[in-house]
Amino acid sequence: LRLLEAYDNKRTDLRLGLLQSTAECFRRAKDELGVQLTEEQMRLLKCQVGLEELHHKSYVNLSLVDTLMQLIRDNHIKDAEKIRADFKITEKRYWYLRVTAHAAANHWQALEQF
Amino acid sequence: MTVGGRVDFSLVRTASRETLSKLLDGIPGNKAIVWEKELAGSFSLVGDFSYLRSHGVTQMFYLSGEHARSPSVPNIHIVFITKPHTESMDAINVYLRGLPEGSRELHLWLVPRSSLLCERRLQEHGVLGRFTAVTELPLLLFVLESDLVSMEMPGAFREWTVEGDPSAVHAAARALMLLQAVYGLIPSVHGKGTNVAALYDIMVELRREMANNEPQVPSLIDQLIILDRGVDLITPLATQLTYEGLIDLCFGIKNSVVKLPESRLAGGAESEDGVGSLMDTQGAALKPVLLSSSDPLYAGLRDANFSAIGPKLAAHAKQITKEFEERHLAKTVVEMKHFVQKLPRIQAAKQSLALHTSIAEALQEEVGTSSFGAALQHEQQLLRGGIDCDKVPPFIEESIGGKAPLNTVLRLICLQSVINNGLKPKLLEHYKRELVQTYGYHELLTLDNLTRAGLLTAQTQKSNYASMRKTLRLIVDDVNELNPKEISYVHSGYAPLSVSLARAVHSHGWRSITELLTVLPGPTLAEAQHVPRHRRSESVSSDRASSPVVLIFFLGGCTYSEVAALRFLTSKLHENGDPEYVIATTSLINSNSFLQNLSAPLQP
Repeated sequence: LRLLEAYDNKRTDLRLGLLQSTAECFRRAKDELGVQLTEEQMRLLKCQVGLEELHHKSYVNLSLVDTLMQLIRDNHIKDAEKIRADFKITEKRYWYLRVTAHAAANHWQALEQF
Repeated sequence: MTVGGRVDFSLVRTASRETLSKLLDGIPGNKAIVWEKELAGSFSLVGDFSYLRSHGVTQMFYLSGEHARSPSVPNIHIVFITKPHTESMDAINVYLRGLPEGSRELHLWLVPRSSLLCERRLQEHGVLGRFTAVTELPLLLFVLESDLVSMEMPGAFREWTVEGDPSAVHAAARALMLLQAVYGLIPSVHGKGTNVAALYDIMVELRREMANNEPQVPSLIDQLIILDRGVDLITPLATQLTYEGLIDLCFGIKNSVVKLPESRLAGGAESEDGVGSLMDTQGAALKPVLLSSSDPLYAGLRDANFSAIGPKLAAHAKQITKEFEERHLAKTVVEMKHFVQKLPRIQAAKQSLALHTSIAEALQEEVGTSSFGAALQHEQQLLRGGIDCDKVPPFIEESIGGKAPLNTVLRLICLQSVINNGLKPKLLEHYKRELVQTYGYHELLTLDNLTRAGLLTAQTQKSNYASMRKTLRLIVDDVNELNPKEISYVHSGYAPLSVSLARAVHSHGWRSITELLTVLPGPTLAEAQHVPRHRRSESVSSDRASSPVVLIFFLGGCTYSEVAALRFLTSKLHENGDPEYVIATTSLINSNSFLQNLSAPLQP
């Protein structure tokens, strides 16, 4: 029924289209959450592609949280803030993330600024 | 281990050997076998290489998705032994490309049954014609221990829950028929779970096909209890705390063989034959170690709670030292001779002691980690009903935030869901969102599979775990882990639901727990198979005073903790009026392999 999802495996540009059809399937199956999550994934993918062009680093295939992690590590706080707003991540989660990410990347100064 | 030992599954092994050798001897001359890797391991339980050699097998290869590496095999016959999967057929096709055409006779044996689909696939590849024969090799049960047989079909549960493929149920029915062919018709059959009725129908059907050709064997097994894994989803999710269960959890036991990282072993362990030393994917050397009750030390350890392992090992060490010291006492020549005779046994015991000490050390390291302890504590609280299942417990929140291993998190969330008879829709949504955001979008499929398997669902009714806990006494608070009195020692407090059920059924039938049964999923089965009088063995009727034998069939896998609990009951046989239990299952599972099996193998 919804195993169309398996098509996810294909490469980036194709993938957007396939995700679209997945979302369609979810809608038909009346899985509200599935639709939401799939649409979110599409937005994330677009974001990631944009980021890749901007920073010449690979972001595609990371999960949402991992993407944020990576951004903070590389000191792209602004991008991270933007994604956070886009995807409505809770305050608590975000700060937890920021602290760990800064710590992992040895941005001790950034940490002290909190 | 089996105290009475009235039913010994080694008969099944004998039967399998006969089937195998008949097929092998059917091909004259020298043969080479090309194995599908998984099967080769299972087959080592039937017969080792020297056994096969005595039937004319001179060489063995693995089917690895490559061309035949040595096309100059001097054998005339090549036998492929694989499972009936189309993927295997593809692999055979690739393999055959490396073989010059028409030079040898090819045979294909499918385990446990042939499939039209496979033949069709070979036809598509245009290689079907090269085979002299495609046969089925009906080996359904592999004997792991004298009281334990497994079908070694780890995919079974996934197949019928996620993929809706009931062929495993059919195979299970045939396996049960096989058991009945050896041990006689089982007079009373009880079962519970979605697939149980279908299973029994197939059994009835198979019996009708045999008509009057049923083997005339006296009935040795008195009762059959079939439990669908779907009835008890709690146990496979809980952490097993028996020695064997932990080994399985940390290193994975396959076909009674565990592969340990060489560096962990202090040496001294003899390498078992079978497959020989293998490398794992990371390239670290792995040492296969055979675990079975033929090692008296392991027989005593395997089902004990892990916290009892230390003292037991110490006691054993003392024992060996003492025996060794006896040589100073030996004065006369006769005494010396007596001692020397004992020497090899002592040496072997010493070696196995060294082995198990190092295994226990490795496990201790694992168990000692804070994450293991915290997860265990959370789990125990859940099982005791000490956690509000409608909220996100802080531990889960932290685990997701800290990106703990997905399996651990999923296990605990599923446990929460199963105990609570589903999660509040809002909570479920929250979990799904968090998981997908943290671990990646592709895990959505895994979550979907879990939902289909009934592990992660939205709540429809109120939970009845609390009443279930009371009726079946699932939770025992003060557990004596060193000298267990209750089966709950296998999880340090939680008694496996499946085993408790089986126990209740055996002593009172389904009637005593009717309320409970309406709660658990799937229909209930209680049937009697009429056994003609003359086939009731005298031993059964005269032996009525002694304990009856109950065969428990776990459809969809059983855990080592359940095995341990049942063995424990068997050992207490004369105290509580419990029967002697023997166990059959589709495969042995643990919480990791159980979830791993259900997850979607999708890589981003």
